[in-house]
Amino acid sequence: MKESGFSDPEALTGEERQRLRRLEEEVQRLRRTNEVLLDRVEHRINVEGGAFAAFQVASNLEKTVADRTTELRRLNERLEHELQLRRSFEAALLRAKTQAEEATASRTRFLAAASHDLRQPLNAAILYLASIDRDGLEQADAESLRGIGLALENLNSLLSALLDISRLDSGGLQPEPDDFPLHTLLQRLAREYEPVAQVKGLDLRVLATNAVVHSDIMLLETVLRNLLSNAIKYTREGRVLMGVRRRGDRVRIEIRDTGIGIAGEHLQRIFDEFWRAPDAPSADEGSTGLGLSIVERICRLLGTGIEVQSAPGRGSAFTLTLPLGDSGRVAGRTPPLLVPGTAGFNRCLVVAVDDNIQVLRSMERMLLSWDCRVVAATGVEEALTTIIDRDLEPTLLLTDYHLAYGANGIDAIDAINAELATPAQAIMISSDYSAQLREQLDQLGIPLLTKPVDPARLRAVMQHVLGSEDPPGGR
Amino acid sequence: MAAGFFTARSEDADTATAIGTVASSLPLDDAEMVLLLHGPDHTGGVMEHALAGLEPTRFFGCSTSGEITPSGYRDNTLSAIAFDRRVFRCVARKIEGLGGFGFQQARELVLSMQWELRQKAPQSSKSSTFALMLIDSLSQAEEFVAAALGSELGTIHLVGGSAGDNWRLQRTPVLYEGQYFDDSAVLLLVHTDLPFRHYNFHNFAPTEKRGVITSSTPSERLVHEINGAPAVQEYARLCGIDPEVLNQEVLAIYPAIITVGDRAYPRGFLQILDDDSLRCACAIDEGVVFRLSTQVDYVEHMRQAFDRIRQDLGERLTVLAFECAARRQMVEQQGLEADVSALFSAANVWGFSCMGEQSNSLNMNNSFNCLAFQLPE
Repeated sequence: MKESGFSDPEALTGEERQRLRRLEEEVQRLRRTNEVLLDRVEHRINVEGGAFAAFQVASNLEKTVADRTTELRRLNERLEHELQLRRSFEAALLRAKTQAEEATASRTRFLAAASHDLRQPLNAAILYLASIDRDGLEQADAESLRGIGLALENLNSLLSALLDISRLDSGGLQPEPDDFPLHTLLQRLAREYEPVAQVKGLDLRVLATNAVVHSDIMLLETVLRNLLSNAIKYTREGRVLMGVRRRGDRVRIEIRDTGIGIAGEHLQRIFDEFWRAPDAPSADEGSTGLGLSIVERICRLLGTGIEVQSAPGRGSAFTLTLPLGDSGRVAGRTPPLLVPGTAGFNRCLVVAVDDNIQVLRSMERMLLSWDCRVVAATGVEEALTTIIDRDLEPTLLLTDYHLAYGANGIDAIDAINAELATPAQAIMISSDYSAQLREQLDQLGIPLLTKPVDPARLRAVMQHVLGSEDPPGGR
Repeated sequence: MAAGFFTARSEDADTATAIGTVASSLPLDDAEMVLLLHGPDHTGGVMEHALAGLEPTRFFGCSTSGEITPSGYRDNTLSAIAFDRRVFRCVARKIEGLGGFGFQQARELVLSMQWELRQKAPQSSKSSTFALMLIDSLSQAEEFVAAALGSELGTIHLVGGSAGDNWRLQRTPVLYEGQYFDDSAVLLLVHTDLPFRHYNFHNFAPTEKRGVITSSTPSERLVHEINGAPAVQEYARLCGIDPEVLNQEVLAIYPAIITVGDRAYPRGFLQILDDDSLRCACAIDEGVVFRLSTQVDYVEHMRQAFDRIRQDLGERLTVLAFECAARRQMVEQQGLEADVSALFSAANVWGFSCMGEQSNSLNMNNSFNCLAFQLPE
């Protein structure tokens, strides 16, 4: 059977035979190529250590490196861009911050200057007011005078509070924490607020404590003063209780009242400036609306926790949490008196005695603003209690001549100086213009200032008395 | 005088005269180091002897297959390129026995050079540093050496060229500290205060014509067979050329292209052997697929390359060029010398025609490999 194609090479023509040979060679070559390629695909050729392989690997690495480099460059550009944005942002923030700081500083300076300048005439007004003899006045006029007095007092508190706030906000107040016993501080506050509570018919109780705390005594006193005065202000009947409890290494001071309380929805807002509860006493009843803002700022500054619990109609409880102090460090030390400021009379200790509480308060504030430390008392017994209690050595006694219960200023000076290691200088204040008193004081070397006291004159006399060993000898 | 390079050249065939001319016109005292690039006839004892009197440890270089100068391509001349000490600091090492050089050796070498350079130039950083390599092309070790050094140098650019001997393929030594060494490489790690960039250009593109190396001796870069047929015949057939007229000069115009991933690398042929094998200028292997290349207009491509360099670095340039010797053959075949000289002159190009160009971790063929420096005003 005759087969087709090249099955019988003998039967082929020469041309066909040649074609056959070419095709066979071609198949051979393709087979060879195919094998080599398959080997290559199977990585059988010189994969390890081959120069070509090294080149191939390096090329792949180069590509990876190039891609990475591009990627990194892009990332770098983006970061650079972001950095630039951030820098300009930071610069803007810094400018804003500097401006804000400058503004705050200038506001603080302004408030300090303003409150100082305002307070001088204010004090004078208060003193003048106190000097008016009310006995001969009509009932209506007396009421008006009382109203003026209250208004001036409120203005004074407001000024102080504003100054405190601006100082706190500007960082002008830096806490100087120390260890001190709470007892003395609380007793002093109790004595101070007892008369106010009594007027309202409230029972003010301060529980005894032997706790020593670590805090800034001046700032803590401001906080407690605000809380106490609030408690009394917002309580119509019942009592105000201040007590101390130790909790591990913490001390909790609690001020609890049976007052009007704070509604739950208002609890968050009581620390806001000028916020007042709808049912709170109005400004003319002695509320600045700044007390708790100051408390909150100071607590933040001191790192002191403050909690409020309240039930409307049943009362409130404010709790401060302070670190426990080292009682060993306190023994035998007299706590410093509590006066802010550094200028003026260089923290000289002044005892001021006046039976008129309003006059006494304004005198105290004025002296404080002149950077005196002040023991303010309504009578000689009260003054002596504080002096002996705290083992103080005042350098100046400032007393009214006519004191309550028939006592007089000269006796008061004698009584106080008798308790001091070095007798203090004294200045007498009186509305008694009699030549007899003047003569008596001249002999004793005690200057006399007549009521109403002109603050500038008082300041001048104080400077004179404190500045020289010789008494000024009258006017 | 602005800081940068001091250059001099001599076309005197007498080595002692040539080196004397060059040395006397260079401010050698201000040179951190001097590159000497010269034709193979200057290689030897006469040069070493002449250099011995010139503080030889500053001299590095190699034998070439032609010098590249601002006046164009030259043969058997001597070029000296001195690196100004005011803006360059360099450390040098000789790598001997290139067959044994690997990643471990590269690591130790590069670390010690970097440390030494930091002592000489504390202000140096990776971006202010480049590596310059001259390597014996007959060692056929460029791929390994470049891969090992390149990976160790990281972001520091490695730029180099393989020494030549005017296509004699007999002896291509490198000059290290005034002496010649075979089977060796010179590696210079250089810090410079000048702005610089590394470029590698070529003008070849792959075509659709493919071939497979089916028989080879990789250690000698010999291709015996392509597509199962004798290499010369098959390559000629692919190129559409009569195998009888295929010689090295013709091959210079027809490099193969190897693609790795999406990258195309020209691979040139150095030599046609009697057994119809082809000697490649780079690593090859069996099973490697190549494509025939097509080239874009040479002069236009070079013009674009130099435009790009000027765009990056401005007009005041010195370019150290390591260009494939086959490209020069192509230029001469096409009669483009004048165009090229103009380009080299404008960009102040100094260098040599190499048997292989090292660009970072790769060994290239048929490329224009260069470092361009921006000179101060």
